[in-house]
Amino acid sequence: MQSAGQDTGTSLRRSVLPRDVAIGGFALFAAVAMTAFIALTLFALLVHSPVVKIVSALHREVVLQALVLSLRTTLVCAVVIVIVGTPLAALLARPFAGRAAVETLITLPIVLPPVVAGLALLLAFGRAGLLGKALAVFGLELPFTTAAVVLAQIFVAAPLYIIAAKDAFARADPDWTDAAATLGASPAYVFMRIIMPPAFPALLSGLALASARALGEFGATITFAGNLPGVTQTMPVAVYMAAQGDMDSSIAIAVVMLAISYGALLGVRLLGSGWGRR
Amino acid sequence: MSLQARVLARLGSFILDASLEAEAHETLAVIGESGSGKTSLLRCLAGLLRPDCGSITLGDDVWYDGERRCHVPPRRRDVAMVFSSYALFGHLSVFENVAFGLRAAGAHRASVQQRVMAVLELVEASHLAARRAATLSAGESQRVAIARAVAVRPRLLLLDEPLAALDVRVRKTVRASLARAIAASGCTAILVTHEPAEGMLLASRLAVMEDGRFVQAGDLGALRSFPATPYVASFAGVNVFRGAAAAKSDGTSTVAVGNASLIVRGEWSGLVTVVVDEDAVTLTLTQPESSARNRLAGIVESVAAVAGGVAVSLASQPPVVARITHAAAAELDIAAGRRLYASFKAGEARVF
Repeated sequence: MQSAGQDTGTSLRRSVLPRDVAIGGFALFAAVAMTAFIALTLFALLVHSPVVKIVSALHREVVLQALVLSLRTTLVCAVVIVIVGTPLAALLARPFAGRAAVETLITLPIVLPPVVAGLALLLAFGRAGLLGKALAVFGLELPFTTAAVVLAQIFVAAPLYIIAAKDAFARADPDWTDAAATLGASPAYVFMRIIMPPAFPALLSGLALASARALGEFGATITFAGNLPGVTQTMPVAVYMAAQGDMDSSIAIAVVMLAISYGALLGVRLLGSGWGRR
Repeated sequence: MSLQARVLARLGSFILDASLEAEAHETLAVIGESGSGKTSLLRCLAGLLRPDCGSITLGDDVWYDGERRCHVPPRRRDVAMVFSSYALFGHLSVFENVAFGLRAAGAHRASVQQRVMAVLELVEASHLAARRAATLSAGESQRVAIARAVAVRPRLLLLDEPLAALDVRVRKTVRASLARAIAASGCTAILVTHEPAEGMLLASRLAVMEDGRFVQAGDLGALRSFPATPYVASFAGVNVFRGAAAAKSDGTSTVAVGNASLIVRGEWSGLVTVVVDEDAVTLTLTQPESSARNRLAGIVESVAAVAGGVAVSLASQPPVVARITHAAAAELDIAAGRRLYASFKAGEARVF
């Protein structure tokens, strides 16, 4: 009786059911199709622009200006996001009344169409805007300046970092923080030595995503900051402008942007996994 | 009195209502089944949980006073806690884990180095100093966690089921490290455990908690003589033997207790403690014919009434107490001075 039962068990484990084949087959198909969709679309850009065209495009002043401006503004944006976003994420990781409301509010820019974000920024910080009027008294005018580019980038990209950081901080082991507190550590010390280090890889990948989003920012930038070469014309804006006439250089700029984004995201990923393994 | 605590805390539908006193340098074991509220009590003492009312004082320091709305946060209490989950900081080295409390207090480099190495020595973990905490075994982890707690020279050491997550083999070495660390630090220690034998091994006094209240406190003798509840009776009725163990080839070990030699299951070596329930001991008038491998002979020293029968103390080598029914006592015609044989099976002996 017992051996018969064992036999059934073995045969059940060995047999491959049609259901399993269907699920496995679909998973493989879906994975290949999705990767191919993204890869082929991006490959189309590469096919269209031989290296010679990219190099010659890079030599044009407008393109070079856009590249430098994009990198500069993205860097400033990333620094601001880390400095302001990290404490916010740390606060959001602990429970308080109205946390869900605040968190949802901070997530909104992710789902907002970027052009709408640009309009909102204009209505807030524009010459006749809510805060713009007050700023104008001090001689500060944001719209159509490089600062406006950074502001637009922060508005759309910061939530990506803040949410990632908040999730990482919330994963901190309560036993760790309890142990640290009984050992006499202040909340700030606990955060820097106990909560922060394990969260670091997650912060890094959140920052990479936010920076890539900032680098690719177009809608809010063109609405709020405009299209002044060397001042507010970032690479995505330059791509759009070039596409109106000179398709080849438009594509060339796009490829350069793609390469930067891919390199940055991959680099951070490798750095993060290296940190995790230490 | 060094530690004086009375806490009342409502935790959902559970009510913790406990008073506790412990002398300076005393180790008190709080024994209770899981869900009895002993961990919550410990968290109140640490300051991790704020009671609804009551007071907690250590010496002259007031840590909590419900009436004066005074609640000192954990970091400002002279306390350290050991968790059953070890709670070692996995990303830091063993050295940095043990140094954590000292560095948080802003201690000097040289004194940190000296203190850390001293406490690591105490738990026999000096060789682990450079290892990352996440790579340690369970036993190593808890030894380091103990070192980390005593490193800050706490006046009150709180131990929350420190051995519960360890397997039986490892427990012995960790328990030895714990006993050394408690003795060396000279602090008041509160040990919370659901394993009464652990409490008996490490503490001088036991306090038994049931449903958020203390039902009885005292040394093992007091609990054994007058158990207040069936739960107390169930664990206080035990014989405790200590001796050197030597493993045999058949999966059992002998434990030398005085001139006698007890046989226990499992392969053990070194100094061990053997715990045998009083009602697992059988008394007979003649040499027992059962398969029980542990046999002791002696005259009856005393007979005491206990719940459901009598406890017979036999002046054997070593002395043993057997708990038998009234019917069995009548049959054996038990009286002081009568010579009896006590026996128990190797499998009834629990080794620690």
